[in-house]
Amino acid sequence: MLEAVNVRYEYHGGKVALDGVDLQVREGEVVALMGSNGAGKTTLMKVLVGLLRPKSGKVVLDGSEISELSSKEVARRIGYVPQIADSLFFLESVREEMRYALRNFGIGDADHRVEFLLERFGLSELRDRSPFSLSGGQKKRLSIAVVLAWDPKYVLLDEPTLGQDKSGREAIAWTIESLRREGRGVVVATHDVEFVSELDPQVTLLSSGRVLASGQAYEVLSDEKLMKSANLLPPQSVIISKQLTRLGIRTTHRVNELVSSIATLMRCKEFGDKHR
Amino acid sequence: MATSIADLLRYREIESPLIRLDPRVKLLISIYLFTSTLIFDRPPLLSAIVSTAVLLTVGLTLHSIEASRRLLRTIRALSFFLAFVVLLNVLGFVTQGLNPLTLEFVAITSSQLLRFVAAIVSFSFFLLTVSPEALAATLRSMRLPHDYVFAMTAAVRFAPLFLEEIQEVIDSQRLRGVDYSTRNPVKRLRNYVRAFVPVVINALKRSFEMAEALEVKCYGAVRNRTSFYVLRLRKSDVMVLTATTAVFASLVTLRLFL
Repeated sequence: MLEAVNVRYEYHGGKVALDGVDLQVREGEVVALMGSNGAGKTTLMKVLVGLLRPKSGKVVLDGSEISELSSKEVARRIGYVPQIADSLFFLESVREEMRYALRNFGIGDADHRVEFLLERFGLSELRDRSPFSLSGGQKKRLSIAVVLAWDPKYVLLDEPTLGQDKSGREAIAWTIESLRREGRGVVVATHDVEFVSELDPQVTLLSSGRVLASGQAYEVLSDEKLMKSANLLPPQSVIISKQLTRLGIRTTHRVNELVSSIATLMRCKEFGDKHR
Repeated sequence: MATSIADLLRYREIESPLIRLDPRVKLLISIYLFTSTLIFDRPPLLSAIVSTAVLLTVGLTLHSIEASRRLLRTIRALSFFLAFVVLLNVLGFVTQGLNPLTLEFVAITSSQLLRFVAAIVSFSFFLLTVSPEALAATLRSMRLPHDYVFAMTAAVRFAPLFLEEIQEVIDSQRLRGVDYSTRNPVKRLRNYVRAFVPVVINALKRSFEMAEALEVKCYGAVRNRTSFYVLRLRKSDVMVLTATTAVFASLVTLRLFL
């Protein structure tokens, strides 16, 4: 388990970025860190991966405090994909980028995995191109593929859907779901409520460096008051289900249940005549 | 390390009477402080006293922004260069057949270290307390062409960002298993060189973006530019300028007749 215990972090100048934050990521679990800009999502990610040292509190990785482990040991077990992918690349080709960390960690014979990930993220035709010539969305996908290449036990994704088109989003959603099924712990920092609503993970809502609420996405995202205090808009499905409830139709914000409610309504002539 | 050095260059908005001084006065104070550390090179005790005075002056001036702590952090980041100064001194002593384990060696080396730190801090005082806009106005008041002024202020503005980016790249590569704490100097150097590739590429990209932004804002459309921010010396500026010039002139006189 990857765990943050009562973590407090202050930036130079005394600005408190995290204040008494607790977070637990179990194997096979997806946790979405949500909150508006400046809520402390990225800072928490950097603390979890050991890039920032908390002022108080601790981060525990599978029973060992992270400060007692070498950066290489931590990196081998926790893969972190930063928000801006540009700082990650420096080699001549996409394929070389994929292989670089494998060499550092002494992992041989991973060509099959590299090719699979390139295919999965729609990058196989770009394998010989310079990573600097890729578009923003392609770079982001490559940064995720690069981290997954060494098969870390925990994966931290900072704003993974930033700049992604439909197929990019689908590939990322599919990857997160696969990682969950493989028994890996995944943390996704995002304010993309629609994406989180589709994934339906555990949600930890942050605001000004504090945890506002934790729970299943279904509960947290449908709490209008909570979402408002975190400066986030609820997902479309929640808005639609609220509108339906106002019309006297009891439903949830889960997309499949919403669809069946709407389908039932459309078949109901009486309702259609009344609200036309 | 890079972010600590960046702290030495980054301007922070501060409210203090000394900080509100005209930037030209602050530039002169910086030059006076810097020159004082240079002209008093001997004897070591005097050099150490002057350098300490410079450090205290800057430290006290910036006290209101808790800069003392920041300065200490920066000095710690400069420890590599300080160690290099010590190494050069040891080599100098040894090649002259002298014993470096003497009080004289300690006095000379510590005065040089103090001078080194004081010289850097005296200039960082100017950059810490003068905004890029004020710096541009100062350079314009020296009748420098606007293109050069703009290039220089842009460099000052981007230097801390550049250093921050180096740190970001090093962090990203550390997360891909690159060992920056290796004791093998060749390996370490190679890792640092690799870190520079994305930084240089990003800097080039940023310069193109900046050029586009300037074009969009019609940079250079008017030959004779006017300025919104015009510098004017106030009474307090003149008083501080006179006092510091008098102190500096006495120090120079003292040095000439010592």
